[in-house]
Amino acid sequence: MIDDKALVSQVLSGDRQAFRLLIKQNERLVGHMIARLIDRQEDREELCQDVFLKVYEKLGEFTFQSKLSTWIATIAYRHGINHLRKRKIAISDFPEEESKIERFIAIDDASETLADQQLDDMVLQLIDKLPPQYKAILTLYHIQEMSYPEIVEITGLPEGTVKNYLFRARQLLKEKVKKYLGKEEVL
Amino acid sequence: MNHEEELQNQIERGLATHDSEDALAYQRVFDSLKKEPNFHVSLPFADRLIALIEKKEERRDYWWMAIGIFLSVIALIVVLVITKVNWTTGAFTFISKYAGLVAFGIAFILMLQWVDKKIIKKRTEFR
Repeated sequence: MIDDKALVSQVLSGDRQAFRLLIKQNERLVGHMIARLIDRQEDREELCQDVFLKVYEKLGEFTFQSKLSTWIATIAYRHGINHLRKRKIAISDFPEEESKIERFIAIDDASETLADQQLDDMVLQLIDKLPPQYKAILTLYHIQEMSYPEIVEITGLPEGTVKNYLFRARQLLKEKVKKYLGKEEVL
Repeated sequence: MNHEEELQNQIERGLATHDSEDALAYQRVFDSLKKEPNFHVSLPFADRLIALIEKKEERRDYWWMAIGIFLSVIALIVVLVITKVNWTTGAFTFISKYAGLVAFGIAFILMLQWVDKKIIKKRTEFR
């Protein structure tokens, strides 16, 4: 596999195939980040496109202080957050009122039975209802398997906040799932 | 470290015993969190992006060319005004005799530039 320095230098010299490779290597990372942050399906691909256009424009400024993927994830994260800000969607923590959190935990009727797959789908839907920064951190940590310092660099949040959001997100999801445990359908 | 944090750490390291409802629920959550969002960019994504970049760069090149031509014309006018050029002397008399040839020369050079940009440069870009 071609290393970051060689790939960047080839792209900067105008090699389109090298840029194609850069897109292929990072489209899942960018796609996951944008998909978790942005609800509207029709906006997602366009935002992914904007992220890679920005990567292409700014690649000359990349200083190799971090991995190329971390730098690209930072651009994707900021792009997604800016898009949400333009749409006036709250991006950070849950509002202070406890009622909002309680509502998150107790929305549906837990008396119905769920198949395994349905429970998985329900968890994924619940993740979508979390604040955007929670979703971004969950994605970077659990799917991209990034370290805390990398997540700190991408989100610009202090390490303590990253750990706290990760902990709270999992705890909220667990509380919700607990209501359905033991009620799964035996298929 | 409180009980919840400890439980999350145990699940993450695969050390939990799943003897409580909390542990079981956490295990389900951790398993689901590993699942990728249901979104993938379309197949020709990279091709479309590269075509878009090429179009942008081409447009930018035309802008630079237009700016260059505009500035050259301005510079030429300034030089002509400053030097109070006499159109009936020296090279100008010669050029006026072969106006067609001069026009063809300029058109030929412009055409060569266009061919170089459209065909030769494009071929070298796709190595």
